[in-house]
Amino acid sequence: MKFFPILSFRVVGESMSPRYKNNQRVFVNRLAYLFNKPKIGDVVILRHPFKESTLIVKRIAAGPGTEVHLQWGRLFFNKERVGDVHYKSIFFDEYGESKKKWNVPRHSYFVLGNNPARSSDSRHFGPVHKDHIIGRVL
Amino acid sequence: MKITQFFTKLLDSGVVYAHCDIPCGVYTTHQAGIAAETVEKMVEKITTLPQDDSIETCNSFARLVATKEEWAEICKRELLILWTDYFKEEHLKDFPNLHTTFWMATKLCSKNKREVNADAAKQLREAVNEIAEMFKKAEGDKASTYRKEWL
Repeated sequence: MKFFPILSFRVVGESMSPRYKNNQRVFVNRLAYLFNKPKIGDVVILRHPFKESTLIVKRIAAGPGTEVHLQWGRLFFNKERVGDVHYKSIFFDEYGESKKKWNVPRHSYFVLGNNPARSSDSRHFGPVHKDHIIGRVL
Repeated sequence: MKITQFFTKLLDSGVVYAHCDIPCGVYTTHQAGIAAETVEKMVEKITTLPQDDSIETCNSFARLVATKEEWAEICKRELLILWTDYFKEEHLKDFPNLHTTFWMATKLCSKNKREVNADAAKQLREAVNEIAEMFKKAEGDKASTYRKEWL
């Protein structure tokens, strides 16, 4: 990766649409979190927790200490429902198989795609440590 | 070259993925199994309908046929996902008949859509069971807890 504080990437995929569309170019500030912590709502570039060589773009949805529940296709942060249906498959909902729970640890963040129906995010790979975050999208 | 193009090129660091299928890796044969059983059940119900032209019978017949076709399509879709997304080249060593099994199973889905055929419905259920066995062997201990429940 180049040593510039600002980097440019091309977005591939639809998980961040409509804000960031397929093939859109984004600029990333690598120094954004040098002195500040990521804030909820920030769009960040991060290394995929299971595949370090893959960079992904997601939005910070919850910070450390948050209790996250996935139930009935919906997400709850500290027992408060957020957003719309996050898991579309009726099979998962009907049998309640998509019940999951995470406690976001210290220095970690729960990230989501803007387009939850077409996104692979913390619902699949869990909270992400801040060391995985490369920078904030400008 | 414009200055914006110059900086874009200078700072270009490749691509970032905004995919839905990086490695969610959640696969199951459960849905295909339910679909195949539904098709079989619909064929059984269609063939045991009373032989008359009453409105009730006509209504039931239309509903049963529509359900059979819908679930045969679901079964086909589920099998295609497993075939194209889950099974990889390395699985061919353990399952040399993998392609033929999937090909025949998906063809059986189409046959069940077209026809009211108890034999074809039974063959489809058996083919899905065979695929479920292959899936179980391929997944082994790698399956997460909830997927084991779904096998």
